[in-house]
Amino acid sequence: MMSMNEMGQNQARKGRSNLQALVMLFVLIGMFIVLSLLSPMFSRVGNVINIFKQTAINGILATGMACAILVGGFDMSVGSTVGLSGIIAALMATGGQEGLFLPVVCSVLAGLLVGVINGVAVAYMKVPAFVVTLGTQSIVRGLAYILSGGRPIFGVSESYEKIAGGLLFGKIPYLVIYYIVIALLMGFILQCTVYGRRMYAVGGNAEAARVSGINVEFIQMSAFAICGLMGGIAGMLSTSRTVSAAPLTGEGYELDAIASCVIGGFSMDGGAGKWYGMIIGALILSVMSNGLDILGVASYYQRILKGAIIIIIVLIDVRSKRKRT
Amino acid sequence: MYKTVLEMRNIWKSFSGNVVLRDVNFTVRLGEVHGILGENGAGKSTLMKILMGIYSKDSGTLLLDGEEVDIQSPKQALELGISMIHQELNPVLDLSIAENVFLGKEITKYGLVQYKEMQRQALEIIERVGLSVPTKQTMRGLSIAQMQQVEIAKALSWNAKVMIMDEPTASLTEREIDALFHIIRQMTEKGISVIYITHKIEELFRICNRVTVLRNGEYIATEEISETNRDHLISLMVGREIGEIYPKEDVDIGEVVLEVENLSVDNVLSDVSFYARKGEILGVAGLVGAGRSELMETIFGLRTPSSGQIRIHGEPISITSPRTALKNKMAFVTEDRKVTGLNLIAPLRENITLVTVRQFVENLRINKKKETDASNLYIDRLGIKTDSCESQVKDLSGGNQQKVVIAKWLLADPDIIIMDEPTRGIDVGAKRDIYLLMGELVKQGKTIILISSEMPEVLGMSDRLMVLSGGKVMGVLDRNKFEQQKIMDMQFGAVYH
Repeated sequence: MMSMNEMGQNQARKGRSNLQALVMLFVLIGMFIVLSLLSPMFSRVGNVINIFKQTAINGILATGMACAILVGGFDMSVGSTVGLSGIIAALMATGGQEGLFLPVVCSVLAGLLVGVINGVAVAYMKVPAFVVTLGTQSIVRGLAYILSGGRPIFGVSESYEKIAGGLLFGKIPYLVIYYIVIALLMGFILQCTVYGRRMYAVGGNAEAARVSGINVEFIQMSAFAICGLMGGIAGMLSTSRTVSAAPLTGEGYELDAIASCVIGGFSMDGGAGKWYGMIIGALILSVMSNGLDILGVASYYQRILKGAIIIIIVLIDVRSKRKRT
Repeated sequence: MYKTVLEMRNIWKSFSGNVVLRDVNFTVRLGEVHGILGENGAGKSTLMKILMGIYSKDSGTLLLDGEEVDIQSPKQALELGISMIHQELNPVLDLSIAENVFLGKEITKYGLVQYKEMQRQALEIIERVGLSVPTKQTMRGLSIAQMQQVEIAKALSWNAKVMIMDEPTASLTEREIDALFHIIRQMTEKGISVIYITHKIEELFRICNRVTVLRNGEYIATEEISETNRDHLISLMVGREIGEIYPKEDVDIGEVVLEVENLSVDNVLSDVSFYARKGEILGVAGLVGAGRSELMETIFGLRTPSSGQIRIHGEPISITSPRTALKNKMAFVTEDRKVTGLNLIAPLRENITLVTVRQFVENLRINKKKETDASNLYIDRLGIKTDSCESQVKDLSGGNQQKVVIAKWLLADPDIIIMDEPTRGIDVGAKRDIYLLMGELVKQGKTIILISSEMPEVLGMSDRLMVLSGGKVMGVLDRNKFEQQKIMDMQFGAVYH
């Protein structure tokens, strides 16, 4: 029998990850208002579009990271993947090569391949995600250096440059459109499809999912594959955006992607988090750094702030869980 | 004249406005075993957590040896001589027995841990509870029963006056239970009082001197065990007369549905053969380690057999994963709902449709309206108490959680339902609901395989009873040949012909 007490707590606890995403939405709005008051530059349309543009790459990584986190893992290698696929794209889009098919497909597939390798090692070989992805982080970064000869690659073709650099209606960068499409697609997958539901089930309790006939290993592997795929897409776009690629591009991006998910209400234990949370989380990060840039705070301090925020939010999560048991 | 050790007077406690303990009174005498009985949500664990300093009471008085005490933390409770042996033991598996016994009060000299001294003292203490293993050994190598003995030893090392035991026999074999009761009696002879929480009413009569009944956060009664009986305690606990405990339905038993032939799994099962028929409840008895759960896991595709054959409706099939078992219309209500049954952080709806969610897909999308309707149908049908199908499963009581697991499988409309300990750790009311449901299911022509460690339950519900011991079938008895003593002998390895 359920006591009155249990029912009361029920309501209070219901949909905590929704709640955190909602709270963070208010935080985002609050930050926006405060920054607008502090600096008139901030709320200009140009700057707002700029914020979205700055969010896009990290936002795309966050949609992939959300999958890995949902099934109970995370991916430390995704920043290196951005670097590798960026180099691959640049190698195929420079030196007078005008074709788009080869650089786009190869760089995206390279990311997918890294994701599949991570996924197979984690899901089927049962190596802890931290170890696997820390290892591939180094391996993939090494590959990026080898392929590029350790030097940045310049001179990306004009047509390639337009992939991310083009503007819709002369105003909205394609990059922002890609991000919105990918985020909404991921939202649909997580919220509406059986596959998405199964990611939550596997992250919530893998053993119960297994007994219920779910192919747990495949779901885990594919979540890492999606994460790698997003790394590939992000690298491909990054090369277009900066019209160049450097082997160290993407260093530390995994931290931003993880931070976006955690801020947006994804639990590092897996199985909990709403799709719009990762968007809000990614926006908060870029509003924060954009605002701090405008206010003239050096980026070194921003790094400290970012790290602290992750720890604090996970701390709040852990504490609220402890209270509930 | 009895000496009172512990007295809790007029205890009130509420959580966010909901009263969970209402003016509860409770006394424990020196050297007695005092049972606490109540359904889930009756307030037993809240009361104990107040005693252990995990929760603070809203009002009321706590007297220890006649002196008022205010317990603020578990550490303080331990120092005052109150210890608790939790249902789920949580030893540090990779530390030694000695380190576990002295966890939190390591013996040190100049800031250095004195391992030799700790090992010596730990050995003295564990010998007092009848355990003789080297205390250098890590916990990992111990059985559940031995770990529990270490926990008891640990409590003794704090000079416990009052020891709370929460469902201590939940994962013990019959023989281990006897050993535990022997330890309890030895402790009480030395003047230690034991507060004994259990769902197994039979146990109260074996070990307790008195029993206090709680219901809905209220104190109902304290009874001398010698002056009460089972039915009276149940009626006190549920607040109404409960009819026959095992409502066994008369069902026409049909053809053989499931046949298992010479099934073996390395080191676990050898040459297991049995069959189950339509409309039948086949009970499976055996001690922990007899291979009951392992047998079911093999049939359900969670383990790979080394040899043997499974036939369903006469067709030989090879079940290599739970998915193939599902395709063959089997369901598996597993032993531990929290570990293998539920996604606790997901809403009821997602748990209920975990197996069958594909039924609700239209154009790639899950139709949430249909999914919600189906969930609510089963919430009503099984009497699951919740405010909404969107509530998280972890907020439900054990009985309601168990019903969610069953609902999940019923939605798949299985022919063969394996139920492994379906009533473990749930209250009498929910147990009865599950028994009634089992009757309803076999009436619909389903086959149920019931595994249970509670002898009265398998005896009460089964049409036939298969007894396993050491991974082998000791025999299969028809209902008219059920004899508790014979079954006990078979569990310990006597073959029945």
